[in-house]
Amino acid sequence: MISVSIIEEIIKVVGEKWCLTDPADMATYAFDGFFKDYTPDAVVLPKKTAEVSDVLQIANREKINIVPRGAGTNLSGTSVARRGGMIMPLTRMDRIIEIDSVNRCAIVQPGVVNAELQKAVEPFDLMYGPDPSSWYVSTVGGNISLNAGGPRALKYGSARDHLIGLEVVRANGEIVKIGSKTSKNAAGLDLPHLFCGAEGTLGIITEATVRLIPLPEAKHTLQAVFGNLDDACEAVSEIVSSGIIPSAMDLLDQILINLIQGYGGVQFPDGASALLLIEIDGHPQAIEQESEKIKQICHNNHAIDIVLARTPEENEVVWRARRSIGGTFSKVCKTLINEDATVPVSSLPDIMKKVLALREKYKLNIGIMAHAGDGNLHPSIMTDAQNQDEMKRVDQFAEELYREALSLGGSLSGEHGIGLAKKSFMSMQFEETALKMMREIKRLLDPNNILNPGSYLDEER
Amino acid sequence: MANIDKKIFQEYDQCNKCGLCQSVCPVYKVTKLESYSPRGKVRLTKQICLDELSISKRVKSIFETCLLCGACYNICPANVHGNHLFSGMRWEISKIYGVDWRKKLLYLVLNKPWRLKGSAKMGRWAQKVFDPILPSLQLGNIPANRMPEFNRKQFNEQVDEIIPAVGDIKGRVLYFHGCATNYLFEKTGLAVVDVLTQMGFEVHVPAGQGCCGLPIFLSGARDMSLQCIKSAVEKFGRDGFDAIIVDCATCGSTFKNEYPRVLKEMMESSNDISEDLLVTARKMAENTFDILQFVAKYENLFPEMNNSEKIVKLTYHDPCHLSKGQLVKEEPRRLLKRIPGIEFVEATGADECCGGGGSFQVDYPAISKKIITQKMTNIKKTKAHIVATGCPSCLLTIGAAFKPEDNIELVHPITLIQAAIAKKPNLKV
Repeated sequence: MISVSIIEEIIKVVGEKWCLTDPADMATYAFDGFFKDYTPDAVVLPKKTAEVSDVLQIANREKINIVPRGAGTNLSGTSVARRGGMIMPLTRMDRIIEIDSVNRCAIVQPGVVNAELQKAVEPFDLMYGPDPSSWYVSTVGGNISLNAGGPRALKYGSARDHLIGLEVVRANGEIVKIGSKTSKNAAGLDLPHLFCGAEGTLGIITEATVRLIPLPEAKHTLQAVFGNLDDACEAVSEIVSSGIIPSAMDLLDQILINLIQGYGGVQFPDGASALLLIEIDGHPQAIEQESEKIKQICHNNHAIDIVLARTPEENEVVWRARRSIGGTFSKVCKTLINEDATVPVSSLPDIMKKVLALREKYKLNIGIMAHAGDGNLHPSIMTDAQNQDEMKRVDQFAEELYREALSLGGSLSGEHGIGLAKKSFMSMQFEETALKMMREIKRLLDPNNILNPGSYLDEER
Repeated sequence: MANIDKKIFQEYDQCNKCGLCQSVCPVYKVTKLESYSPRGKVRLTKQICLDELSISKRVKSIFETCLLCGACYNICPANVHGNHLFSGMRWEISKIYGVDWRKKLLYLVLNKPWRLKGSAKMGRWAQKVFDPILPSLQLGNIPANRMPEFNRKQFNEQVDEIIPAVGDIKGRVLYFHGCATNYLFEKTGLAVVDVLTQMGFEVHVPAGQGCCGLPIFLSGARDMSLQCIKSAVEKFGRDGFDAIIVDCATCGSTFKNEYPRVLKEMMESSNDISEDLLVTARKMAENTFDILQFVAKYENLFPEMNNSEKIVKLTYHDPCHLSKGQLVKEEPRRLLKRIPGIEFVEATGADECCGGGGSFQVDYPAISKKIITQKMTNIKKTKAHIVATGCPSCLLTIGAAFKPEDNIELVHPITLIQAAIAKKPNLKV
């Protein structure tokens, strides 16, 4: 609980309209894209950096927890008030401050929606690299805080690869500017990247300078259907080692193929057990040659059907069904848990085999989607959070999956973050010395542990 | 919420919280508040149904802060029907808090055609009497002097009940003109009749038509709306017609989507509704066409169009109840592009709500204003002089937002088609 006098003090900073405490409002901020709910005590929506700073000073003095939040679409339970306190959505700070087309960068407030930024820079023939599936909704601040990526991270990288400067407000309210507009910068500690993937635990991002990249001239998508998953995995390895870098390469297993069969008129042939969507972009002539080469590789690996989409419209048809997956789950299950295990791409066939074996072992309904080109695996567990027995098996599945991924030299998360979902696995990936270093940095920047407490940086055992 | 029929609201369970609805919700876009986002409202619906949250004044105001434009259910990958859930919640809320007396009064008027008639006359009289002070009066965001004039004579008194086809008869249609055409936009009604008869259709305009009932039941006052629904089903559920034609996007969407559902839901708690009524309403739903949808279907029956030397720029605004409610998007554009003398310019966000939303603009003028301002900016960018849209509420809202010096006219597309096939070249709007 936050006392009335403190609420009044916060209202003086942001105005009555933007400091909410009604149970109805709290209910709508009790969740994000993950499946666990925590009701906050207050929701405070600042409009400018100075307000963020003032609120943080109050919170730090009173030791009130603050959870910064973008659009609340993350899949790891990062933007809920795990230890109570207030949620601070940055959604009202949604201005694009500058688009510098010559220096190919943009300065934005954290609440700018990813797709809005893409739209704004497109007339300059530029784009912002990260393309999470949530990009119509999720914010640049949120993308950075979770180091989000998407299908095209294969060629263009994740949020970290496009971050060059930040303005952050520290737990004590101090406003700090770090990084610069330049593409080269060898001065000082690389602080901006410290905040990337920190999940709002080290400070609150109030402004970001991000790198922009030229829009590719043309795009092709190959939709290759395979009779078995192994063949598809082999094709992936061969494409990756052929020297071509596709802009995206998504792999879907039979369960997911059946789920999207027919969506928007898309039909897959009988016996379709694996689907590869390979997008290549660049100079029109270059990608003609490249798509021919990829087609050949798919053929050699026994693809049973290959469709090549050349025009934007054809590309759209091919990708639409793929993008519909997220939404279709709720028709077949009550709770969807999306895992995010990542392995070096050469180990993709191994981790695939393991997932299939574990799916069998724990008798779970799991569809497998992978950003195959970068070894980022999303087993989608279709379950019911109310079913305790099944949830136990879900936990066991996850633990074994991550253990295997790590033993192959992988990571707990490719793009969804740790949040609540994988906090307990952190010691599997990191040695105690590494975790200690992370905690010491946290303690230095936020000695009262008010910023998103309950995170993977907590001291508790 | 112990006595509520929870089955109606079960859809909340399908929401997978992806938040995609935020990207299209006009209210979320200008408030940036989760409480007002469809995802937030679905969550509230769930918690109320599970007795985890009680209906409060704040809950009431949150559910009122929705244009029921349908953008959220159109984009929802899980098919959660926001409009149905939220208007259902308004119904539940109205059982506790009642309906605002001003709205109740309005609904009483809408409920009975003769009351409507009287009040329209009164409106006309008031317009005259208050003329000198009109510029200072505001109805929400709509300055009173930007309200269109009431028809001198109501539309259904200007036409016969049966208007014969011109030339060979190709079919017979029923025409539901709704309140707006009857009292405010006679031009639309006359154009509908003219175009249809010229295409060879015999047009039947049943006497004594009233309100479709939607403004009443969307606000929660479902019991009050039953009279409207029964009367419409009785007059338009008849056999022997090729189509029921509606010129108002909202009324059309009501016939097509709302009657069967609302009647079905009310049937569970009322003895007043017979199975027959529901069956007829379903049949009616299938036979209902928006005027533009119908005309586009029989485009081949058009008489030759007049040439025009003058070229005028035009843009089109998708009424929510047409584009999202009836999935009619392509037909109006196709028809408008065919008209000689028209240069069609697509506006950014043409399918985004104008912010009118029934009484929304009166209840929440600040939010509504932000939405309409964005719409105006997008329209101005096209440099169009004509904005065509087939919804009286959009015509009113957008029309009132522009000032005379903007030199932008609002028209129903059917009036342009009428002008194009009129005997004399006449593209004046």
